[in-house]
Amino acid sequence: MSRYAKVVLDTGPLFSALALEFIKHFPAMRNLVTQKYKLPSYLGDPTAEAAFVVLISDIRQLMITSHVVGELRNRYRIPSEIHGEFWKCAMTFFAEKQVDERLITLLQMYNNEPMNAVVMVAGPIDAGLITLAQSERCILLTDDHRLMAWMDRSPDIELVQNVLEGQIPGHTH
Amino acid sequence: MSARKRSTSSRKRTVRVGERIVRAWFDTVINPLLQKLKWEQTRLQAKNWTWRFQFKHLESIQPVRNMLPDQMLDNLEQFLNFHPAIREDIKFHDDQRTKLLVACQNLQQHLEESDDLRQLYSRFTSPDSLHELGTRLEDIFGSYKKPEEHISLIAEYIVNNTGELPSYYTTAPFWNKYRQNFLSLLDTPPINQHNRLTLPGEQLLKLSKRLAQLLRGSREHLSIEYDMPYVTSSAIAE
Repeated sequence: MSRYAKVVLDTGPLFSALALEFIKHFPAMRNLVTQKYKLPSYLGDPTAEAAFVVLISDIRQLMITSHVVGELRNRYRIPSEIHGEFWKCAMTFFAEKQVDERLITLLQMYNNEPMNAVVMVAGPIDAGLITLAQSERCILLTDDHRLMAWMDRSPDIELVQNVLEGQIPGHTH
Repeated sequence: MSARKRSTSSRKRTVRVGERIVRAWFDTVINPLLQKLKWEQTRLQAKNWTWRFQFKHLESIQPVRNMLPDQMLDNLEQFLNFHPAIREDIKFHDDQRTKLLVACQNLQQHLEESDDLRQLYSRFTSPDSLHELGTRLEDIFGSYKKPEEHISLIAEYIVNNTGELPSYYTTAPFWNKYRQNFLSLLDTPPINQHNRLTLPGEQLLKLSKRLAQLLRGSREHLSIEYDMPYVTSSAIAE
């Protein structure tokens, strides 16, 4: 079974997945999307994008927290011309992937050592994602170097860019 | 002739550019091209030509104009009007890319027709082999249903010198176990006679590096002449 069959996904790679899904359905809108949202540097060519899409497709059980949904709207600007279609596409993606959206409350983290310490350092959104990944015994996929560094290379967290480059234990080129 | 000046032959008057045009060149032409060329060089160094049999193209080794969004192409043309040496190098790059594309197409075709490849495929997809892998043929090749498509996909992997695949590829267990057997076809007659990718690939890598060097040189010259940083803080904030 793939290591990525069950994954908690951070906001950054989730939004990249939604953007690429939208571009797949509306290729002519690519420039409009990428004007407002620059795809991360690890998706720098079509081959890297294709590998990322394969990675996301392989995830059979995709989990996020409700905080991530809120952050999507606040962090990323969608041009008004495509706003409706983009979010319709996003909801379809959620439905087809049966994305499991969980509510991890601040109170749950407060009552959970050491997560309350993680909240104080990394904030409630990142702490919620880590809490969910640990409770579900699966990986948190992120592209946030700071979170990765702060978690001191915990085996529960992987950087998307390292996964795409095959830089994880047991995978060599 | 200075990069910022170009004589118009009809009126013998020097055309000059200013800071705004130079800033636009940095942001929409030179910096994006340098990023794309860096990615291209990474692929070429790994001898991953990104050949795709379905579309008969090189997915990420592209003509230079395809490296930029359409709305930046007018800026590219203007930049090249003032930098004819770079325009020429772009042509060399694109011509060499075409040679690499043709070489990939030829190798793909010969692999697909190869009895050796078909024998390996039959052996490694036998019921015993699949049982040993703990998988089914349809689970390995996903949406590719027909054996001919499986052969084409394996040929594509061979053309691209594909390394070990990460676990999120359905073909990973199959390819990772048997890749050395498949890749050895490149060094074995008769396929080795049709494996003519190394030279065009190396040539393209040289041309890609040279083009990047010319672009960096231009950027440095313009940066100093116009007191223009390579990247602005607003570009970094994006």
